[in-house]
Amino acid sequence: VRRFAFENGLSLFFGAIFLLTLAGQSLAGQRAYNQEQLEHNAEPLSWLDYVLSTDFGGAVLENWQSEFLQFALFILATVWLVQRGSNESKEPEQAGVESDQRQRVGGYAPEGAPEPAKRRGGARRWWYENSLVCAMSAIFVLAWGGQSLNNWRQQNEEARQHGGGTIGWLDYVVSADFWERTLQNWQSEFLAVGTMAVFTIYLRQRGSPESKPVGAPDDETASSG
Amino acid sequence: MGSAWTRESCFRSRALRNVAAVRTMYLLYWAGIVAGLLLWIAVGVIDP
Repeated sequence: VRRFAFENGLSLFFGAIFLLTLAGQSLAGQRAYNQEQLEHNAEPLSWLDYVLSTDFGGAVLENWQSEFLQFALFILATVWLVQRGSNESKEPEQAGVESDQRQRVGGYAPEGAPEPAKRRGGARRWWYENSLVCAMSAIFVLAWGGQSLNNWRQQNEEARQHGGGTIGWLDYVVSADFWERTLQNWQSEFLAVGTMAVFTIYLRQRGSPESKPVGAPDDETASSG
Repeated sequence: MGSAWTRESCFRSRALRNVAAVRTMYLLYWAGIVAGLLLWIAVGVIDP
């Protein structure tokens, strides 16, 4: 068990703090939601009802979509775009999808390579070559769609409570409310990614693969510490 | 000879266990993400 925990520590740690913070968000969210309900002389919600509400669903998916978009874009952009001196970038001369030899596919695949990588070409190899971006993008699209549905229901519910008219989903996805919620998440993700690309040129964290080795020169690109 | 074989099979079974553990972690992450997406997309579609 100790060996398992050590060898999977990164995923276990982030999985655990994800569950803890999601639980914390649901408890704090329920309290805030019920406070507002009381102010409007409305019935408070139980924890389970709150977790299954569009208020909570929208808040969760709103953040999920932006995180997965961030990684999908970062993975894809770093194929062609480079940043000299950054640990997050590859060497400028490697910009692009690179040769089969360098990517160890087709005839250059080693013995232990995954089966689709050994193929000479075709749809299965294409799919496998792009599987990481495809997975991250699919989660982004589904989370963004889910966010829009939850936010739309929530906005219509609020409109009903205030005696206003409701709108259709298609009208909601072009509304200022939806784009304000969406863009406020995107801007923070893009700033964080850009900052990582630039800060890792000059700043270090000893022992982290997200940083260059402490003694690496500032103009050294693509080295991991 | 016998002990070498035992050592090798022991090493191989540990390697297989490691592969299974890592795969389990990967599937757990997928399961959590898919469950969350399905749950809250359903909430958005049905609005319980």
